[in-house]
Amino acid sequence: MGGALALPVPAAVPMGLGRFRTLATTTSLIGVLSFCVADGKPLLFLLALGTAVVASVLGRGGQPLRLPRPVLNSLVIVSLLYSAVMVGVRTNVISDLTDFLIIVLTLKLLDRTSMRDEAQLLGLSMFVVIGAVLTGAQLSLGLTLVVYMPLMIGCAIVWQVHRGQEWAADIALRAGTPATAVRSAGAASLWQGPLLRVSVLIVVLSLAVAVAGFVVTPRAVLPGGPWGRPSLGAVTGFSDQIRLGAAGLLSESAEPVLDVVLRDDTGQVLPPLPEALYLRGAVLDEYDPRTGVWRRADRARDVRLRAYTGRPGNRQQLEYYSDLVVPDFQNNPAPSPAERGAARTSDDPTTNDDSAAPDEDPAPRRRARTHVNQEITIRNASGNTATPLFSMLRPTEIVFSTSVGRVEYDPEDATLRRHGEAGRLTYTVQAALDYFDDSTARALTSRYLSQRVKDLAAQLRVAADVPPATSPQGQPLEPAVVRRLARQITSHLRANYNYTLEMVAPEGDEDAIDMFLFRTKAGHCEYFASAMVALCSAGGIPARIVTGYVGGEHNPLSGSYLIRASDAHAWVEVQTSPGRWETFDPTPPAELQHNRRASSGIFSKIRQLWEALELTWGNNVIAFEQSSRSTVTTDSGIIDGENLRSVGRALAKVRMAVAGILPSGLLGVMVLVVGLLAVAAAVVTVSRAVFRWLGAAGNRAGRPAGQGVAAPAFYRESIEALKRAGFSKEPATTPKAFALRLAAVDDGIGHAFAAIADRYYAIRFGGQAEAPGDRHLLAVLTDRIRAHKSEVP
Amino acid sequence: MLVAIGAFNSQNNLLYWLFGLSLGMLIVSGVLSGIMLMAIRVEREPIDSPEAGAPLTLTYRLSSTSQLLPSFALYIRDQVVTEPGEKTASEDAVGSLAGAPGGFVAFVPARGTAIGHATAQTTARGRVRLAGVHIISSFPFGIVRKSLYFPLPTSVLILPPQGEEIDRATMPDRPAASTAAASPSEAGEETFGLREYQSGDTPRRIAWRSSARTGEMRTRMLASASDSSLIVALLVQPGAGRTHVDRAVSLVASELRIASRRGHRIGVILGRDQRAAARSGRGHLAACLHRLALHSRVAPLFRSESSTAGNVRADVVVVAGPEGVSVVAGGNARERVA
Repeated sequence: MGGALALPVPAAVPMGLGRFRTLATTTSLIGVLSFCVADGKPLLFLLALGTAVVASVLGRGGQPLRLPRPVLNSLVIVSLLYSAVMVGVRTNVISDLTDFLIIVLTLKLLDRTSMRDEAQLLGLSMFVVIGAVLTGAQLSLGLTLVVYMPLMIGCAIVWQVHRGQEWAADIALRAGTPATAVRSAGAASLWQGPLLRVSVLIVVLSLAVAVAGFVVTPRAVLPGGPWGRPSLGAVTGFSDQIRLGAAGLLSESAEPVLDVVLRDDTGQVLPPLPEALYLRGAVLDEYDPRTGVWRRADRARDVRLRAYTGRPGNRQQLEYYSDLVVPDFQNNPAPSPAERGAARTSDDPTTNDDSAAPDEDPAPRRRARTHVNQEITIRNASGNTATPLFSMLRPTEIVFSTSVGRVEYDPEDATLRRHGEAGRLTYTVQAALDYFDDSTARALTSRYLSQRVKDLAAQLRVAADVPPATSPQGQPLEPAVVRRLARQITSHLRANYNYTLEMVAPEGDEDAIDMFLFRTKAGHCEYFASAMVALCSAGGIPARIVTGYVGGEHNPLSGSYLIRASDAHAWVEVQTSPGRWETFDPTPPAELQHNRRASSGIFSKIRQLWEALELTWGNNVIAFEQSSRSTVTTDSGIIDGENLRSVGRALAKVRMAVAGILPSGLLGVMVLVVGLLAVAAAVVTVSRAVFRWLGAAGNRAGRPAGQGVAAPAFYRESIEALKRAGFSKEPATTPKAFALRLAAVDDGIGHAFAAIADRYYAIRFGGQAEAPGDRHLLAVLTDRIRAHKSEVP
Repeated sequence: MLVAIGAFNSQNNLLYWLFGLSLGMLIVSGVLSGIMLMAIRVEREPIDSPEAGAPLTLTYRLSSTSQLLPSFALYIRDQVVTEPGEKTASEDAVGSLAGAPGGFVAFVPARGTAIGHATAQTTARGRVRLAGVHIISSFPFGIVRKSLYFPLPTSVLILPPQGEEIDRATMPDRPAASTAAASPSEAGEETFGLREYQSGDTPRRIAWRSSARTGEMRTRMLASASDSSLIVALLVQPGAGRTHVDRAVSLVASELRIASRRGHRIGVILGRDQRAAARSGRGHLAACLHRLALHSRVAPLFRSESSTAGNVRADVVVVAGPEGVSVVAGGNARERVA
């Protein structure tokens, strides 16, 4: 007898395990890439990539490299200790933990011997991706996720097949059977065949359900509120505090921080403005010469900050102008100074002159003014601190598109700040093209100023033909005189001082402003602005520093301005008359990137396209929340009754149209039936084509080698014939056993069916084809059955 | 679930996206695995009888009735009956496996079939009853695990293992066995060739397999076996443990296999009611091994002390006793054993 049945072992075929390993490695590396993109750690990705390459190269015979277990465990322990230390030192726990996961994943690339290891590798990559999602929200991260997710789903699907093979082979080996004897036939060809097609179907279905789940899932915070929301990446280059006197080289970051779209009241995107965008963030009007720190002065008690809740859809008036005029930038790209009237803003300090701005003080709140709508997106606002809501000019109204937390409006300096969670914020500010302000002038206290500064201010007054001030509380200067003096100071600073990002520290008790004005004579925008405010104050003109962003790059594809961290800037506002502040920028204009215009090169176009996609991604995916969900599901009418009624009306129209076309009477009914049948046939044809594509046509040609063959027709017919004669074969009964049972009843039938069973086995397992003689066997059986019936009464 | 909590907690839209994807995978996994599994039908294929210690391989024919989707990654688990069976069956020796037979089928096409195998290590001779087959699937993501049970009761006979050969040199009386060559005859029992079917041939002598293969009816030509014979008796004494009995059975089986291979007629005596007369042929050897595989009772070898072995004379008697296994040879085996 000799043991097990001689099985029909299929031809040895490559099981595709090597390809699966490559797929798993690629998927894992893309998972690592997603985190490295989100957290800006290219070296970590290079480490994983290099390890994967090394493991692939050093692997012998297609088997992955495997490190000795003690070495592997030691490396894991070392990386764990390092990560534990880093978690204690730094504050970004998620980033550090994900670093650790990536290191473990990298080590896992060197230790893959079973499908379980592959599952661990893929599981680690999944956690790394979650870490990436908790760390960043960039478009590049989104793109890596778009690639990662289908690959991950494919890996999970193929893993199921390979794991089953491994499991069965393991059992077979334990039982002493060669693994090839139990290997499932045709598994290798599944890669190119049905498995690939079904995988595509599953990926599409999963992603479709994912999109639906993403849209309809309510955006409701868990009871008890968030349990510590992670920061979404690095903070911007903007600061609402200036600290002078720090040594070192400042590095410019090209990281995008703001997107600004200028619109008119009809929602039309405005063309790029010729003027520079000065996006005000914070007003700093108090200076401490001992520390060199500019900060926002504490407001008097009678100044009441106006607080609002920044919920999506909330609209808040910040001023009470009733005679606002919408500028028509389409037909008249920039309002002329005459149009702006006396309230022209000095939004372009480099061209500010007296002829454009009358000296008389405008009548507050009654002058015709223009305004502009600014749709501003802060890509990554920091949380847990007061964050400015940037705005060009003076905000008069704000509409929130996302939850921004608690918003405060300070009427004294016309700035907006918010307190809330970190993340992406979008709001629309309506700003007047008027710089009227009725706030109280807050000049830099002159006692902080050194005598050298006062002397220089006096020289500049003389140079500007401004009469010497008798006292700071004396008769205020005429606006034109103030402008003249401010321009003189601006010109002096631009002409005699250099712009640099390489700073030195003050010596001893030296004031940082003094250092800039009289020793180094070089500095960045904060020094220029500080010096101008100091000189203005010493000259008797109220002035203050404003920090924010200037410039930006207009993207014609998205119609938006992209503001980068390197666009952070500090400039000066000078009070030219009571309640009126005008902007002056003493920083040499060559150093500023005023409204950069993208070049027309191909790379520039690609970059613009990328940035436009990034803005779309941010506004439609990252900033998608409850209001967006309502808009998609309800407000737009996708699932409301009106839509259903529309469908009903459309169907009624179709019915009417069909009734008009069809002939009346029976002929019409027949035509209708034929038409419906034709439609049904078309649907069936298309469906069959789809099923065929899915590999559903199982019994047809193209079956993988070694795969089971359906029972031959003569066998099936013999079973049916026997069933009709009262001999039913149970599924658990083998053909040979059935033949024996038949022989016990009727020897002739049993032997006739035994012959059929032999042929059945020869065809099923022996690789033989059906022969004409097979039908003869069926005929013999039929004769036996007939004879049996004749014998049995 | 963790992703969902994280998404709701942080309001991070990318986590919502991951949550949606997890939800999608869960739903697709549940629906697809159900569709793929519910369309599966299973039938057993012929089961061979392995020797104890050898692997048992079960073969199944899986067919899919689905019009749309093929089925992937199907695990097969055969269910072994461990409870005692019916009264008659319980008298047979119960075989055992090292574990439930398990196998895997990667792919069953829609409206098609595939062959699957499940293997298990056999550990003891006897009858192993199988109740049915579980078909399990967690395709495509391993998230949802579903199974179908097909009651396909059957049994597998595990034959005695190939034991050590009896050292006849140490036996007091060597059994004599002639080695005369087999002579072709139309009245024998051993097939020595095939010829064309002739009218009047009995259907019992039709070589069905060969006929099926060649497409022409053929009849087996039989040869009479050697006149030499070997009858082996197994005596299980009261108090003999299963281990000793199994060893004795394997010795008997080995003796029969060797003798059959050498062309002797073989017979076995397992008790007064279980005797197989000396015959030749593979079928007879299989029948003898079948009896040995199921032998479990402590049965007297002879009717009484005064009686003889009747017309059966044991050439070798293998005795399983409480202390061990002993072998007695020769024509006076009864007296020696008694």
